Amino acid sequence: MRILVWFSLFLLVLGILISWISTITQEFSVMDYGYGKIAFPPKYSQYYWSVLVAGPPRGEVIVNGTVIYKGIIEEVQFQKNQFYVYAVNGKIQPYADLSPLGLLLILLGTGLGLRSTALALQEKYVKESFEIEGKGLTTYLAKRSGNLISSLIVILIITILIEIKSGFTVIKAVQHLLTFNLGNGIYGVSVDSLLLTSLSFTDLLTGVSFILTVYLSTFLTLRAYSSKGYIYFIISRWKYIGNALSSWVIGIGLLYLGNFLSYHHPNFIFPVISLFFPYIGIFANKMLFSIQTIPREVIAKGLTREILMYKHVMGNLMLVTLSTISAAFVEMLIAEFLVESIFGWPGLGTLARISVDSGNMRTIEGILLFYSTLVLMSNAISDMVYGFLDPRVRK
Amino acid sequence: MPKSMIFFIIFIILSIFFYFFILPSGKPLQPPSLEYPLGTYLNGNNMINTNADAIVNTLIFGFIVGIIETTLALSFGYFSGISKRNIEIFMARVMDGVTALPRIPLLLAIALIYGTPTGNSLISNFFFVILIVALTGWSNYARQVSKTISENKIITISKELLPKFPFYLSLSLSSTSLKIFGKKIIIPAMVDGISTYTAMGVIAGVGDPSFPTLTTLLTTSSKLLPDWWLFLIPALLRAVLVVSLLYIADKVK
Repeated sequence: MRILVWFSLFLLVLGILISWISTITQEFSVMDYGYGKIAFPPKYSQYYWSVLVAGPPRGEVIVNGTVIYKGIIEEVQFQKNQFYVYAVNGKIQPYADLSPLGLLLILLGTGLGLRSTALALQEKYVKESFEIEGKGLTTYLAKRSGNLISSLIVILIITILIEIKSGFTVIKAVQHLLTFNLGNGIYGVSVDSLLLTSLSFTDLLTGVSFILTVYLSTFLTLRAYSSKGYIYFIISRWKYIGNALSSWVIGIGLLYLGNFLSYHHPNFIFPVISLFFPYIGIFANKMLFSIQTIPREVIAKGLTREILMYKHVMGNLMLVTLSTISAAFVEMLIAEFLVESIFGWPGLGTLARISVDSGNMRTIEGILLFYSTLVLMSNAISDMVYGFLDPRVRK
Repeated sequence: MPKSMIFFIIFIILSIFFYFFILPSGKPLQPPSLEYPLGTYLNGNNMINTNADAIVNTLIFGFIVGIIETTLALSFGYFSGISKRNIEIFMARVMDGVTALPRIPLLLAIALIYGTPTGNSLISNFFFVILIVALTGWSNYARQVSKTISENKIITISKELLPKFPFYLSLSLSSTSLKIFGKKIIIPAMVDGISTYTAMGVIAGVGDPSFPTLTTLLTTSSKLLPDWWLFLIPALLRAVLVVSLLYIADKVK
């Protein structure tokens, strides 16, 4: 079981590392040349332009070694026919396509880590070894896959309806979805590129906040249940605090604090605090009140405190955590949209805000489809992993 | 009557009073003083009136969403619960499908189709947003209603034995469950509506200038950091409102 603990830790570190790598930006130019009265820009939309971090790419036209135009990317007219070089310059995130992998590794590592740590503790204190049971696994996996497919179909139908409403034919809409090509979004950059570059930053923020929240809330719940002291008192009331001071209110509060302290450049820490602070309490509260009380007959057996805690309470806690972890992940993703748009963190939330404000339907459609796929995939992966590791979840 | 309910009622009465009783306005963005205890807003309106307007609008939003979601959840859940096995499974899949929808991006897409983007916000009709929020939020509650009704032993046996389950019989057998659920669902549905509108407002500036809510005040305040009274007071009022509603919901449960 220790190997599984180390493996999950490796997945977590790898997930965070990949997410971080996918946020790296570098200068990039794409050039083309031609002869005529009009200078046409080269094809540039498919590259991973980091528009939310460095702004949109800019055009530059060079004639006889002199830059004669610098500005937004558009056709440039000359007085007479001449040779020209058209360059599109900006910053790209060359590894942005790694971002979905980063997110999935973080989710997988968190769930696997939680379960394997619990099993390792049970092995240590209860001396009970863990074996994977295959009974009912096939039916469970088939049922989960069925749910995933039916939900995907519902989302695809809705996206097609939105496409039709935007003026596309049914065939075109289906074609766009099958090729996952939603055309160009804001600043003339492809929607796929916008989604992947912003997902990199969402990954990083979600990864750190989610790992901290899940591990610490589980630990706090266990402590609260065993001591029933001040931690229990705080957690039992945190639901109200967490809802009253939700992530976005804390976010704006931190902006005020930053302004008061003359700190005008909120970085990674502020969004993490905004996400982490309310959710750790909300999750711990949810788990604390979902654990069933240990039956009197079990206590009457005179079992040691370790066995009661690590076998009965932790076993029960894991079941609750495992069945709610993907819902928790989705809740946190939504909260992240809010926090991102408050701090201007260049993730999917900020992309949604810019797209809605500029009325760009294609990008919003892309976010809808991309977000749904992520949520459904994360649900399916967590369900399958837990169904595999814990036969009780299959029921 | 629980203390939380009394407190909530006083809070609402005060808000409605200052919704109609207009206090003198002044220069825009005046900090709190004896003349303007909560300061003045961007347009010079007394912040007591502005906050009261926002609370009443927030409650109107939550209340209508709560009513629609509860009605849909009870009726859909009830019909699913009393239906034969195959129809029940189909209706359950519909409820699961609606629950699985990515609500916020979907609502933003719909609001964008019917709204007007201004460059830094999206103007969308208040009542239209109420409708789309309510239509996407009822399924989870309906699932609970359906499960409780279909687990009623008399209903289960009647569904098996009778070729056609009489409507009046099923309704009388389910009436207690429906009443209990109605009370249990409505306040969480209100909070759900308020939170969803909040998310739409914070993420994409969705709102209706004719119906400013507490979210509108808070999102506006994030662009005016030195004017602290634009943030602190609405944040405190929002906290009071949400906590009171949650507390009452817990008491009702």
